[in-house]
Amino acid sequence: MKSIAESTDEQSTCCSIGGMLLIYNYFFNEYKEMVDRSKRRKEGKGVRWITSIDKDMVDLVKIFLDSGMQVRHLKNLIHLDFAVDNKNFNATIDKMEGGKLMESLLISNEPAYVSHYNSVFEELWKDGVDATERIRDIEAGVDLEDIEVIPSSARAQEKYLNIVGSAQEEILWIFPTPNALIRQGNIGAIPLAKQAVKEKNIRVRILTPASSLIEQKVQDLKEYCYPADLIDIRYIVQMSETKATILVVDRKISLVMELQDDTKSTFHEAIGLSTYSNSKAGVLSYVAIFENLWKQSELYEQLVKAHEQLKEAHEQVKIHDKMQKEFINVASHELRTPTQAILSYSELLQKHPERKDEMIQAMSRNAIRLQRLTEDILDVTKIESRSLNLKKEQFNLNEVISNAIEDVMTKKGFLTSIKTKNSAIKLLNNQSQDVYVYADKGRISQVVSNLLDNAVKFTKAAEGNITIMVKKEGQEEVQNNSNNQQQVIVSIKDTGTGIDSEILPMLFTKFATKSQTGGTGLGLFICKGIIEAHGGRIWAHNNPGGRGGAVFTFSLPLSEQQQQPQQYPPSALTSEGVTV
Amino acid sequence: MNDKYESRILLVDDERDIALAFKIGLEDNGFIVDAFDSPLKALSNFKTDFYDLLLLDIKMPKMNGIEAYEQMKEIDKKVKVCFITASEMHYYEDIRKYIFPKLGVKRLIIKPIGIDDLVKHLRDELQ
Repeated sequence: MKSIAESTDEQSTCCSIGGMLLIYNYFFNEYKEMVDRSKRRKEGKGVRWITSIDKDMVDLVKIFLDSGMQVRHLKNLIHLDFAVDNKNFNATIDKMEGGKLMESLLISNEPAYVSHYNSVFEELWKDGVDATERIRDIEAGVDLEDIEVIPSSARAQEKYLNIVGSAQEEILWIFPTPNALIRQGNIGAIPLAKQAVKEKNIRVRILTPASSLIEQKVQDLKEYCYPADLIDIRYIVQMSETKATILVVDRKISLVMELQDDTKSTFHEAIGLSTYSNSKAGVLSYVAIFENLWKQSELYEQLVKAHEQLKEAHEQVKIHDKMQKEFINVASHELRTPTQAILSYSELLQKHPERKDEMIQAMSRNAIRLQRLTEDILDVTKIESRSLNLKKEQFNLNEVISNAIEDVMTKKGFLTSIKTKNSAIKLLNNQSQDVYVYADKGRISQVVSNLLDNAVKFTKAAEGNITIMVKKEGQEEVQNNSNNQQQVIVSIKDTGTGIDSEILPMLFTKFATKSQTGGTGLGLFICKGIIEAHGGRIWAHNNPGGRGGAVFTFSLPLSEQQQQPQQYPPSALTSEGVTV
Repeated sequence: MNDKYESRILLVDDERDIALAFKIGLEDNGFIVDAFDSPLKALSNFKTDFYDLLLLDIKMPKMNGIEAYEQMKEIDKKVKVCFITASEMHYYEDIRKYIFPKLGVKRLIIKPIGIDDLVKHLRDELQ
């Protein structure tokens, strides 16, 4: 090698890093002289090198360049170490690892070999990238390392799983179709990612088109590491042009797997060409695409949400509009009906003095009905405008309840009804002491009467009874009571027809009534308004087990000082209760 | 209105006070009136070729006035009808547009109405 180096003033060498190191270690002076001779001659091609330059070689190549040699970079250079000048050709199959001298060297001056290898070198030289440029790229981090096209799906699967398994920080995934996600889950890519999340705390983000097929999978993945939020999945719109799975690991490696046939159930059948890359520019471009889509999907989700909210609001407006119309209709019907009776009888009264009493009674009945409705409508208006003024005082709730019972019983027809139907009203009080509350007596009485009226109305037709329970309780037994105040709970239980299933969900809203049952449908809305204005709650349910009848319950807050009144007469009610 | 022939009216209104007031008022004006507070009772007492006109409230429990009329018309094809309601007119907009023409119904009276005006409506319908 030494004699060859001394005999020529130009040489073309194609070798690995081992070959260059060998020259640097043993023959660098001879090569430098070769460069000097070549420069002096001012002709010839000089001393030229073709090699694959990576990060580790940068310093060595720089030394070669500084000494006036020319170096070009060729990626993926096959193992081919040879040197050729205009007279000699030499080659070795030794690897010259670490710059070790080769053990065998093939040398020939056969013109045919020399000429052939010269032309091989010229071809390679033409494709080579100037070493200065390559070094600049390496130093700038643009490392055009490795791009591999993988035609075999088996090889793609192997590479795929290796890459996912190698993740240290992050996995980004874009699936072209829901089926792609299913298939790639089946070959173990997703379980592998889950394992990486668990073991290495890496973060996984997935973009996929939505489908009911993967809904459960997505939900499971999202909940997999809840609440750490290490796996996040968002939906994107499926585009017919999107035909590849994109995988990016640690922002260093990308694998793009083209989708050949989405109808196939296995990965092998569905996948086409795959491209592996660790080129920084390429991988970061995929990252940028991912991040854009990620952001877009967020906007998309917000848009979908906003759209749903808008739809819901529109529905609400429609419902509200329908309810308003219903209100006007029911109100007008309820106002006009008694008005008609009053108007007709006032006309007829003069012509039929003999029926005066009957007609005046009818007029009075309808006038009262009109007055009640007017008051109900006024109450509704006050509740809705939050201007229900409460005249609070301390009073015995048991007294109000027994008065309401008395009122209901003295109403015309009721006594007959309970006698014939064997109905009864019981007042059961589990408190040995009276229950004093600080509230608007008139309004609470209105609520009790209304609930009692309803119970009687719906129990009349059936044999049965109505039971009123009054008890004091701590907050734990009362629905949704957020403070620690004691409560008094009043339940009115009947064995009547129960609450109609259609009405039940909107029981306490305005005009929740069935035309068959009569009534304006304002009573329970007003009850709710009154109880809530007192800081209490009201609720209702049908008796369990389809036994018929319903229970209406309301609670009122009971503060410490309100439980101990001084000058109220003891209640007539006993702990055994009163049965009528 | 034929002075010699007294028109026969079947009146149905679930509001008893109103049914009675209309019955008295119409009888004062020479009509023969059968009044019921339920369409079911009216149907079970319905007599073929007996009534000249039906005066039916619409909103009633168990069976509304329109359903009652459909059944009565099956029995007596010639009988005329006036509907009466305390509801808002717009509430029956679809019924007035699509159902009434099919049933040959022309008149919907809105409560409250004075006896004289009611009589006028009925006479117009009878002519």
